[in-house]
Amino acid sequence: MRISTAMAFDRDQAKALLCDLNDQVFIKRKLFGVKSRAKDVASATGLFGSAEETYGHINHLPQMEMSNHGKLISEAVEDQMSKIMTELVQMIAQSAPILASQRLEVDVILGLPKFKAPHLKMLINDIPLGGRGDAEHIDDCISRLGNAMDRIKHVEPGIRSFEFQGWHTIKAATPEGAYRTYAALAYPGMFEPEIAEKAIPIPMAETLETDAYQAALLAA
Amino acid sequence: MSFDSKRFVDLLQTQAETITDYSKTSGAIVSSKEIGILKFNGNIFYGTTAYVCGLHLKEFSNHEELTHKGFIKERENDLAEMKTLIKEGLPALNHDLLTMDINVMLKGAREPRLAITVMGMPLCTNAGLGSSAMIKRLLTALGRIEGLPHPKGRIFSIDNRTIPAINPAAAYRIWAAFAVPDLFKLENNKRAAPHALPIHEIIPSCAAHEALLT
Repeated sequence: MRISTAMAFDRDQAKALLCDLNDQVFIKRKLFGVKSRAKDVASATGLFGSAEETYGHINHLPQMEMSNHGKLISEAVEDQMSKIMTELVQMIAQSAPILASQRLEVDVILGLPKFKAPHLKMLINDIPLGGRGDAEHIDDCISRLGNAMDRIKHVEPGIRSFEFQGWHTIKAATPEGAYRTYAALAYPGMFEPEIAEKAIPIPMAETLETDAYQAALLAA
Repeated sequence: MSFDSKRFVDLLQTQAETITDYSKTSGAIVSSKEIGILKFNGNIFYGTTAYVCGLHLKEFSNHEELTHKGFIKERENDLAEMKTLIKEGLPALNHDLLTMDINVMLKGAREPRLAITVMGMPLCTNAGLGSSAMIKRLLTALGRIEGLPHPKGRIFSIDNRTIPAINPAAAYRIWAAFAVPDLFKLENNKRAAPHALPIHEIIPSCAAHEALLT
């Protein structure tokens, strides 16, 4: 699926999906009788335009014998989590065509039992929304995600590859588009005038293919 | 103007021999293999530095100190001339990021030993090479980039080396000339092709940063 026009990001729907995802994790934990504070990570990858769409769930549940009934519940939970994550990836891709033009990976770290309201941490293409801090209240997380989507919804997709801080890669049509996308995900504060004026611009570099240049060494 | 390699080699050899002799006669306390350092510090001091290792540990009389300062000044003048020869003869290296470190090592059997590093890319191991072999290697590398134009502000990065160049092809050529000269041989080039390192062009992000607020 190639997504070219941006749709408005539905924050309520995203919140409902994430709440459901969090609930599913607790159903599974209850099934296993686990009370640990270890976090679960649900991740989904979408490579739009090709068939590669995957889902993965890393949990810290003990390996144990389970009744057939338990197995059925566990499988149902995994199915539901897979559907939610796939839907979330689709939502993000539809709201930001720039993200749909490249491999889009969404990770959600969740299942923190010490809070009443769901607390979670979201990473898009390995870039943690809101920095590297702890998990946040679901409303803060949705707010960050929604703001990021609003800021990049008009960024034009492209095939030029830009690298930030020697680590993260964003594909875009222009350096400005890539910079805007990276800043929206990793440094949302940069969009505030008082912070942007003081902040040092994030270093960026365009990655170029070398094959032709290496062969050219023999030419001269 | 073409690169005057003869004059450059004369200056380099004289520098190496003079430093080797001077370190013996001046009473330099040599604790390591290096006995002298000559540098073009393009990006830091915009100048040249000559230094004889071990002499900072010695107490000078006033007369000795004057002689020493005169000697260092001479070396720096020669170094400045070498830098000018490179900048005039090789426009591709005519930029502020040009650095060249020439380490003069303890004298070998017949000739001074040198270890040269250009823009952070060593042309040999830390142990250095005999001056004639080292000079041959340096001239081969410089010959490979002769004729490349001035970088005109574009900067690339290959294998964590920052290389100003007019275009990616020129950047790759400069990097290969100094860092991986084997790539200029057909067999090695073909063998290394699948593992070619990517080139990164460093893009000034100020404009993109300002555009965030619009």
